[in-house]
Amino acid sequence: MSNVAWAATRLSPLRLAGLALLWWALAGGNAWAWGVPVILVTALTMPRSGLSRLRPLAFLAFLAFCPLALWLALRGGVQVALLACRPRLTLNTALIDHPWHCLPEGPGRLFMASLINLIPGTLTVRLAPDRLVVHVLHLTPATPRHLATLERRIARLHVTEKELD
Amino acid sequence: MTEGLALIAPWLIAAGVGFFLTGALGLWRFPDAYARLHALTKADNLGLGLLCLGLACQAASLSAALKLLLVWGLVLVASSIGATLIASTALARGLRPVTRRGSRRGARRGARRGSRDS
Repeated sequence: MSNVAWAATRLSPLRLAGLALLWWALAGGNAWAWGVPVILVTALTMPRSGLSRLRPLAFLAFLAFCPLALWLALRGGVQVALLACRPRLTLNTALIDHPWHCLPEGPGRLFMASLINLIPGTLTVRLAPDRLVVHVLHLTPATPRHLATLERRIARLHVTEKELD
Repeated sequence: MTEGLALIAPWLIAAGVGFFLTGALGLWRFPDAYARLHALTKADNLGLGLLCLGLACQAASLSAALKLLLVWGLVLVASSIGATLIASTALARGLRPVTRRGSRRGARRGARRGSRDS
C-alpha cells in the first residue's frame, strides 16, 4: 500500500469526526490549537478498530444493535440485583461450551466475548478457536439458544445473509 | 427541558446507588469468584451507568455531560475485558466454579481444556 493510500485510510472523515468529538468533550470545547494536531497524530497512529472492518452498510446495523446491547445490559444488572437480594440464594451456576456456529474468526468473536459479560447471567471464561467457554449464573434450558441467537445477530454485522445460511 | 432533567436526575442517582448496593451484596453472598464477577460486571456497571446519567442531567454543559457518559463507556469496556481475564486466569490455575449440586467435575474438565488451549 502506498503512503498516500495508507494516510487516506487513517484520515477517514468518520475517524476524524469521532476524535474531534472526543477532544470537544475532554477539553470542554476549547484549546483547538492543541486539539487539531493531537487529533491528526492520533488518527495517523491509532490502529484500525473492529468497527472499520465491518462489512459495508453494517455500521448502520451496528448503531441499531447498540440499543439492544444496552437493553441486555439493563436486564443483566436487574437479574443479578434480584438474585443477590433473594432471602435464600438458589443459583444454578454452570460452565457450558458454546461452539461457534456462524461467526467468523476475528473482531466479531472478541466483540461477542466482551458483550456476553454484560448480558444477563453469562460470563466469558475462555475464548477458544472452536468454542466459547461460558460461566452461567442461573442456567435455564433457554440459555444455549440465547447465546446462539446473539451470535447470529453479531454475525450479521460481519458476514452477509447468504454466507450465514 | 432543563427543569425536567433536574427532576429525574436524583431518581437516576438513587437507582444507581441501589444497584451498587445490590452489586456489593452479590459480591458478599455469591459462592465463588466466577459468580462474584457477575455481580461486579453487571449490577455495578448498571449502577455506574445510572449514576453517570443522573450526573449528566445536572451537568453545566453538553461537553461535561458527554464526558460523564464517556467514563461509563470506558468502564464498561474495561470491566468486561477485565472480568474475562480474571475468570480465564482463575480457571487456568484450577479454581473450580461451585455448581448447584456442589459438583466440580465440569470445572475440572474446563480447567484441563483451558490449560490445553493456552
